[in-house]
Amino acid sequence: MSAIFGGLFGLLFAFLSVGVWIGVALLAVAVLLGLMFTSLPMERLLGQYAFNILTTPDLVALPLFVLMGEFLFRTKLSAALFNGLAPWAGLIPGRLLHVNVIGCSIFAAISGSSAATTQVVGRMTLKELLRRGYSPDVAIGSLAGAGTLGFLIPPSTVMIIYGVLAEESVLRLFTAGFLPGVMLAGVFSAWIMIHTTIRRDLVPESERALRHMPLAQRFAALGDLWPALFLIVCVLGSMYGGLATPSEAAALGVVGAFIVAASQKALNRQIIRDVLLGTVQTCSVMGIIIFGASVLGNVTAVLGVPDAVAGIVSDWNLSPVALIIALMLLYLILGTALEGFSMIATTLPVVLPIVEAAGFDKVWFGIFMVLVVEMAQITPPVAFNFAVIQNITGRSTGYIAKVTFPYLLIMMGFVIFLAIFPGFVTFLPDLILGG
Amino acid sequence: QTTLNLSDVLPESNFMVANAMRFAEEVKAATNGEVVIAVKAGGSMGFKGPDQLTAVRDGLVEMADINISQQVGVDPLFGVEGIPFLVSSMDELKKYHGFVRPVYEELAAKNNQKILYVVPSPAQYLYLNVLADDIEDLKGIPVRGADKNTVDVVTAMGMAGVAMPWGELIPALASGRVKGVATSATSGVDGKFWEFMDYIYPTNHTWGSNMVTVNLDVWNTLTSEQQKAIEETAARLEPEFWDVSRDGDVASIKAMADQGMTVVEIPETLRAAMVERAMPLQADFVTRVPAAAPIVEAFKAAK
Amino acid sequence: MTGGPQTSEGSRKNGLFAMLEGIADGLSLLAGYLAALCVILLTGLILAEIAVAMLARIIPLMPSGIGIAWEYSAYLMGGAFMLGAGMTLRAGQQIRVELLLRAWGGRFHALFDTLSSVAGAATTIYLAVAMISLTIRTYGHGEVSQDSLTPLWVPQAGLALGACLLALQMVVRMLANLLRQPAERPELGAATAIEG
Ligand code: NA
Ligand code: NA
Repeated sequence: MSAIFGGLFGLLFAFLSVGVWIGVALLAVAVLLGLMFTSLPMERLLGQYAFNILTTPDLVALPLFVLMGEFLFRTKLSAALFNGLAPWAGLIPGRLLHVNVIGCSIFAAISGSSAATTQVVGRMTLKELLRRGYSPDVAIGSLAGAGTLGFLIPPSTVMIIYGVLAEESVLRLFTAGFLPGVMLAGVFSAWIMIHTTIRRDLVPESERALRHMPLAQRFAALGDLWPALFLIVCVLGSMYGGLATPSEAAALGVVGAFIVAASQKALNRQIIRDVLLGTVQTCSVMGIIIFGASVLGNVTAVLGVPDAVAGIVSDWNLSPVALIIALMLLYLILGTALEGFSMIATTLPVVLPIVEAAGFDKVWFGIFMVLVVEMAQITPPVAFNFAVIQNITGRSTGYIAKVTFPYLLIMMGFVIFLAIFPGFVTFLPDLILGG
Repeated sequence: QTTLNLSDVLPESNFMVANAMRFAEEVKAATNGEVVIAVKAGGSMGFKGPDQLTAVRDGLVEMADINISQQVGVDPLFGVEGIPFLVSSMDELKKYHGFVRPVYEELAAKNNQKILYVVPSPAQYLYLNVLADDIEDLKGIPVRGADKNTVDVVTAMGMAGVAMPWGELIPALASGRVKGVATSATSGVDGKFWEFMDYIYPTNHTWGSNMVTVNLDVWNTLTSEQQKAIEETAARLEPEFWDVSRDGDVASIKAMADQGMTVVEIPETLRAAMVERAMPLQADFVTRVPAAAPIVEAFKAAK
Repeated sequence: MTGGPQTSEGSRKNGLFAMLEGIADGLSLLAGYLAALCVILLTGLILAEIAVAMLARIIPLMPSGIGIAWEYSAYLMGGAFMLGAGMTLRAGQQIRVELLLRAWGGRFHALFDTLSSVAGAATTIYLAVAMISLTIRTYGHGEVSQDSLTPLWVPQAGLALGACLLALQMVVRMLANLLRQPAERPELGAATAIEG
C-alpha cells in the first residue's frame, strides 16, 4: 500500500508541478497507477469510464449555470445592482465597503460559481470603491472573502457535484447552504464594521452624503434590483414552485439571464459568440477536471486506497469536533495546490464514511466541503478567486493573500462553529423538506 | 489466493449487496480462503447499471451484480421479466424463472460470462397521494418510473409517466413536479416516500431480477474444485437470497406503514382495468422481441 | 492561472508546422462551435421538457414528458465538455498549477512547458485511442441505450472526436515548444476573463 501511496502523491506532485493541466495530470496518474498496480485492461476501462463520467445526467445543470453566468457577465446587471444597493449600504459603519458582501450574497443566489460571483461583483465594485477613496485592503479582501459565497448560497456547482458523489439530494444541500451562507455574510459584514471602526482611515470622509439621502430616493434606487430579483424568481421560484427539477430550473435561469441581457440591449453577434465560446471553454475546463478526478477516484477505489486511509484516520480516534478540525487543516493544505472539484472527488470516498461514523450527516458534511472548497479558492498558489482579482486589479498574489487573510480566519472559525452547532446546517432542510 | 472484484452499483445498505457479501464470505470458507471475492458497492468501480454486463464481458471487472432488465440495450430478451402484469406474485415468478433462467444462462454465455445466482427484486408498487377505486381517478397524475418500460406501463394505465434520474426525484416530489412513483418497497424506504405520499398500491406491474456473474476467462483459471465449491455455495444460498428479497419487501412495507402510509387493497375492478390497459404492451413486447414468444406461451400454459 | 503566450524569438516559421497548426486550430474551432451547439440544444431540450410537463397538466392526452430528454441532454453535456477541449487548450484557458513554471523568475518556463506538453500529449493520445476503441467495440456489438434504444456508438464517437482534437492540440503544442514557436493563441477562444 505504501508503494501505491508514494506513486499516487509522487506522480501527482511531479505532474502538477511541471505544469501539466490539472485534469490531464489526474488522468495520467490514474492510468499509470492502474498500469503499475493492477492487471486491469486500462485502455478498455478508460474508454468506458470516459463515456460514463462525461454523460452523467446528474451533471446536466453544470453547463446550464455556466451559460447563465456568461450571459450575466456580459450584461449591465452588475451596474444596476450597485446602484440599487449603494444608498442602503451607506447607513452602516464601513458604508459602501459592504457592497461587496451584499452584492456577492445576492449574485451568489443567482450564480452557481464562486469565481463568477467574484468576477461580476468585483468588476463592478472595485473601481468605484477605489475611486471614492475607500481602502483597497478592505475592498479587495472583502471581495475575495465574500466571493466564495457563490458556492455556499444556492445554487451551487460544488453542491451539485457533492450531491452526485455522496448520493445526497441536491435540493437538500441547497436548502442547507442558505442559512450558513447568510450567517457567514453577516460575519464578514460584522468584521468590516469592526475593522473600519478601529481604523477610521479605511473609509473616506467624503462619503457622509450617503447617510443623508432622502428615503424616497433610497426606495427608488431599489428599482434597479429588478433584474437580480427576476433571476432569483426564475431559478428558485420554478424549483420550489414545482415547475422544474433543480437541473431544469438552471435552464430557466438561462432564459432569465437571456431576457435580462436582451432587455438591456446588451446582445450583439460578437457578444453571443463570446457567451457561447466562453461557456464551452469553462465547460471544457470543468469537464476535464471532473473527468480526471473521477477516473482517479475509481482507480484508487479499485486499489483499496480509500479503505486504507479511512483505517488510518479512524485509528486516530478523534472526538467529532477534533476530527473536523483535523480534516479542515488537511483540506487547507490540499487546497493550496488542488482545485476544489478534484479535492471533493478524490477524498470523498475516503472521508465520508469516517465523518458519518463520527455522527455528522451527509448534508452537514456537504456544507463543510463547500466551505473548505471556498477556502481553497483563496489559498495560494492555486487560488481561483485570486486569479480573478489579479485579472481585475493587477495586484500581486502576495498582496491579495495578505488582505484576504482575516476572511480566511473567519471562515475557519465558522467551520468550527458549525461543527459544534451542526443544527445551523440541518435546521432549514429539516424544517422545509422534513427530517 | 485469487481475488475477484465484484462490482455492484447498489449502495452498501441494499440487501442485494448484503447478499453478495454473504456469498463472498461463504465462498472464501468453501475454498479454504483460496478465492476471495471483494464486493465493491455503490458503483465505486465506476460502472453504471446498464454497463455491468459488458464490463464483465470485456474483462473490466471479474464479477458483477447485474440488474438484468437494464441490459436490454445488449439484448432485448433481457427484458422478459419486465412484461407488464404477466407475473403476479413471487411464487409465480419462481415458476417463470423455470423458463427464463435457461435463456439468461445462454445470453450470459454469449457475453462471455457465467451466472452464479439470480435473485429477484422485491415486488413493484405504485405510490400516490390519492385513494383511487376507479381507473379514471388515476388519470393524468405525473408518476416517475425508473426506466422506459415502467414509464410506458404507468402511461398505459392513464397516468402521466415521467422519466427522471433518482437525484432529481426527491426535489421533484417535494415541489410537486411529480406526484407519484412506481418502484419497489425498498426504494420507497430509501426515498422516505412517506414525506410525500400516503398510499401504497401493490400493483406488481413488472418484475425484475439481479444476477451475479463471473467472467468466463477468469472462471476457467480456477481449479475444478474451486469451481465446484463456488457453484455449490451459490446453489445453496440462492433460495435463502430469495427469502431475503421477500423479507426485505415485507419489512420495507411495514416501515412505510409505521410512518403512516396506507397499503391499499386494490379493488378487483380497478386491477382488471389496469391489466386491461397494459395488455397491449404485452403484445408489443412479443412483437418487438419474437424470441420471447415461446417463453411467455410456455409460462402461460403452465400457470 | 493560465499560462501567458510564449514569445517566440526567431520567426523562422516552419512551413509544414504552420500548416499543421492551421489545420489543428481550424478543426478545434469548428469543434468548439459544435460544443456550443450542444449547449444550445441541451438548453432547448430541457426547456422543452419543462414546457411539455406544464402543458400536460392542462391539455389531456398530451404526453407528460419527452422520454429522451434526460438521456439526450446527458449526451449533449458530454459534447459540451469534450468538443471544446482542444480549442480551450490552445486558447490558454485550461487550468494548471504554475508553481514551478513561475519559480526562479520563469527561467525554466520553456523546459517545464515542454515537459507538460509531452506528458499531456502522451496522456491525451492514450485517452483518444481508448475512446476510439470503445466506440468501435460498441459499434461491433451493436449496443443500444436501455431507454431510447439509441446506438451508443453515436454519442461515443462525438466524445472520441473531442478527445482526438485535444490530443492533436497537445501534439501541436509539444512541437511548438520544441520549435520555439508560440504555444498559445488566446484569440482563438472567447474574449473572456477567467471563470471558475
Ligand atoms: Na450560488
Ligand atoms: Na488554493
